[in-house]
Amino acid sequence: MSNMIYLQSSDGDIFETDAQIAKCSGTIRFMLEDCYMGEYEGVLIPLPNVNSAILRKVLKWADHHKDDPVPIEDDGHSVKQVSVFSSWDAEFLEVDQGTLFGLVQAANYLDIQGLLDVTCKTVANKISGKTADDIRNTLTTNQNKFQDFI
Amino acid sequence: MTYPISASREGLQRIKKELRFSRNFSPNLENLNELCLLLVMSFLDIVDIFNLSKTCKRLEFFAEMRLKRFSHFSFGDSFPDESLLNPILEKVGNNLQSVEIFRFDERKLKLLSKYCPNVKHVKLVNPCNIFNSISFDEYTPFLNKITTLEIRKGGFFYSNLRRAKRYQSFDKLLIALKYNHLLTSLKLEYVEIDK
Repeated sequence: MSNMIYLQSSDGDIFETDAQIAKCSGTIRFMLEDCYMGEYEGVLIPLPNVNSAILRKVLKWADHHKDDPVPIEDDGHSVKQVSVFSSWDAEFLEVDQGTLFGLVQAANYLDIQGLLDVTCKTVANKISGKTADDIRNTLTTNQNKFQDFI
Repeated sequence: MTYPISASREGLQRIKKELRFSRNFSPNLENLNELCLLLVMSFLDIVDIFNLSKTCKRLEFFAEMRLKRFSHFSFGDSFPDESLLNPILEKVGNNLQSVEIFRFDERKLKLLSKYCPNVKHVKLVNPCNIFNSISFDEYTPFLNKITTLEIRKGGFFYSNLRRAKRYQSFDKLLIALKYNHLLTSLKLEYVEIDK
């Protein structure tokens, strides 16, 4: 049974996707199961915090990881699954910094733990081994604004 | 004091514009929310977080939150810059329970006893010429709190001056540890060499 649903990005573009794939997002899963009570075929979910370019990447990631095992919860303590950083992920995350941080924010907003882990790890790899000045110079797109905070 | 309405409205609009800008168009390291920042930092070691804390005010705030949670510190071979040791220990010293230090010398011992009053587990690897030369008397408050002490490759050191291997004895250290009633484990690795 395939349930197609529609996701609307902040720019107004509409993406058609399988509900099963979209459900890797905790936010969307909650909406589909609690707000639409499971009858969600063809519904449109607006995602005002995610733009088209980022949403396209997120869906690509979700599609590739749709068969990943679901993290098991063990007597209320959620077992933190060690996300495997596959070569596909590494290649997927070879993007400019705007996109990378956009993906972090989207993963956080959409509540996709696996994507949040790999993106944050990628950000950490970019920081690791750098001096404060290097971090300031490489990890910001608008430096003047950054300087103001100091 | 009053401002002309038009001016304040202009100011408000500029603030609104900046807010919109920072929200929509610059997903940036310093714009990440608290949860993401802490997650990023969970993948970083103490030195990286220390460097991060010096980039801007907001990151400093979260970096310090994270630094407070370190209880182990390893000053390894790959440590980039010895001069960082002082400021880092000054910041996190109070929380440290265990330290691992390569190329231990008196300067480092001084820093440890100054900033790290709660250290219980100490592991020294490849200590420099320290056991023969210094007197441990002034460090007894620090030494008396240690419960496990491990020294690896401690039996000899390479003297830069004579370019030769020299031996050191642990006698002074052992005398200094005489009044430590908390010590539960002491491992000294002394390498025997053929004569």
